[in-house]
Amino acid sequence: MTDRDEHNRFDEDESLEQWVVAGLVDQQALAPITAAEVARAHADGLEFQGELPQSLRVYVEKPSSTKVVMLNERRIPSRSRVWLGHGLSAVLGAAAAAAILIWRTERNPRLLALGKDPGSVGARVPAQSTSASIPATIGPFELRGPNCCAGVDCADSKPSLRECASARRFIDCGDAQGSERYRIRIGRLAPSPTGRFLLDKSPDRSLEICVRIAGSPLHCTKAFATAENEEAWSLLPMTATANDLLAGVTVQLRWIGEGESMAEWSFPIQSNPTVLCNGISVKAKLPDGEPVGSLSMFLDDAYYVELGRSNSMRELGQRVLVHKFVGMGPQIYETESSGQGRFAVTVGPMSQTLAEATRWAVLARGADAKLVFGFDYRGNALRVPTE
Amino acid sequence: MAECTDAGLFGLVSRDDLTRARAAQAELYQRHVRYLFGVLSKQRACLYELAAVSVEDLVQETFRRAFERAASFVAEPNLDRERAAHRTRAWLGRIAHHLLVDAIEARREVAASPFLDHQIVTEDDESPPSTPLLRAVRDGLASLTEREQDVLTITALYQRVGETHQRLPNAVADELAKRWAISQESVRAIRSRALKKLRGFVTARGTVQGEAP
Repeated sequence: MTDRDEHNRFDEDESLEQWVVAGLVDQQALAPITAAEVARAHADGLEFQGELPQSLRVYVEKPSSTKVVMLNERRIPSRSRVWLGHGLSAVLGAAAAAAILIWRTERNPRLLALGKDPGSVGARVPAQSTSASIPATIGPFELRGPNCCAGVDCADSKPSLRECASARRFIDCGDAQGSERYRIRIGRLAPSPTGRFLLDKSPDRSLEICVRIAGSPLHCTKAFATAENEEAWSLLPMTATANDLLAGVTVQLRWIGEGESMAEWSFPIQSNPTVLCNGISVKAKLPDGEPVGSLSMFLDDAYYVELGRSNSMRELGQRVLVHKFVGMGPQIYETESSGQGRFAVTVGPMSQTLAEATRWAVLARGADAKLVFGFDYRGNALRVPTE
Repeated sequence: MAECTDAGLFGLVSRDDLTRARAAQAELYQRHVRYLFGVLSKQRACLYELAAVSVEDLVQETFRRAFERAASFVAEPNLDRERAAHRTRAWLGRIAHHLLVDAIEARREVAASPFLDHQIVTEDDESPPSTPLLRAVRDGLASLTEREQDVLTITALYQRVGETHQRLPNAVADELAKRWAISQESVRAIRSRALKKLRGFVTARGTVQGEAP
């Protein structure tokens, strides 16, 4: 068959789909299932050369995996499997968190002065109380290490890192490492002359800013505040670790509804005290390199300790009064939930370490608490008076 | 055992002599596990996320299922050792492929596999050889967004189960839509747009190279 014949075949829809399948196999996105595909896979050297995972080193005859369902057998409903898995993960996670907490408390001076009050981890857990008569102290937690690098509360800050645009007040030199997750906050677009020209040329269209970190889905927000009371910032419903950031951050400018990237900025970001303090300046460019505009991106603390949800703000307020938070203020957020739990009472946002310390202190008091990212929190919070 | 052909080993696996069957299983496993793990590891992560299985699970289950159905392995005479191995691996790939489809299907809590009973090894090998057009298609696919590639990959997975015009099940389209926080309609629109872009890419490539019709 000639190339011309192939292209003629390619122009037919059915044929196009077959070529897509062939292309995906050739791209190694699908497993080879014919001898010719296998031969090409061999030519591409797809055979695994490293050390096999432990579970694959020898064939062990065993009943079918619980994950891949048995033929002609009634299956366990997948949701049950999922929840079973989640339940097990939660139990293991809690045990691991406790172990890590104890281990890190011994080893790491940054962590955690949980206090010697009856609410400390390891203390006897009192029965849950709804009474506000004896508030239990939660915090303050001494999380600061001996070496700090930035922020107004850090005596060793360089002048350029004293006043942080991110509003962080104390950045430990060891921050921005490990498994900490950051919430992505971006500012609105400041268009360049070219960007302004393009916007003026398209008065009926609106721009959006879309962000992808490592392999995450794109998360988009409006490029400009459209109402006077709209925030100058947008907190995206996504988090990223230092590893994710290093894998690459892509920011795209798109005309809303058109799906194509008009301008783009893409770089790996090494998170460090400077980035945590000053944020990142993003300059989106057209494919020919012409800048369209710039915007700021910050890595915010991501964790909230959620103490409960209810449709009654009064009930949530009473729930908070059981505790006396020191160094942090409980607040109520409206959530996007339309059923029970329209409001959530939380403390945060804060670092993972502080959030875990807070959560354990609350749990030790016999109350409920969980870590959340607050993706469904809506608008600004209402601070809860605790006195 | 090392001298036996794959077909001979599958024959031993399907017989009643448990000791020899186990030895044959072990030999087949050693011959092909690295290949299978290698190719399955290269598949798009979204497939495993949608199916809620790991690559290791899928490898193990594929061998388990192959040994369970060893009697259905049809040998083709007069093949040299390399081509025979390709045929075995194609069969394993087909089993893995259908298990993956089945696992994705399982997430909508269907009680029976619609696909696995169709396993055969005597199908003609109709896949196109590597050509300039195939390379252009591959490059065109690589130029698509991750979301477009995910949508095309999942759709292609269902086109490969042996039925013409296999349609993406609604529940799978729904999972895909949830993964990308879009509607099912958008999934279809993205697929249509991706195919259009791909056609444009390949046509442009052909025009540049003077290959266009």
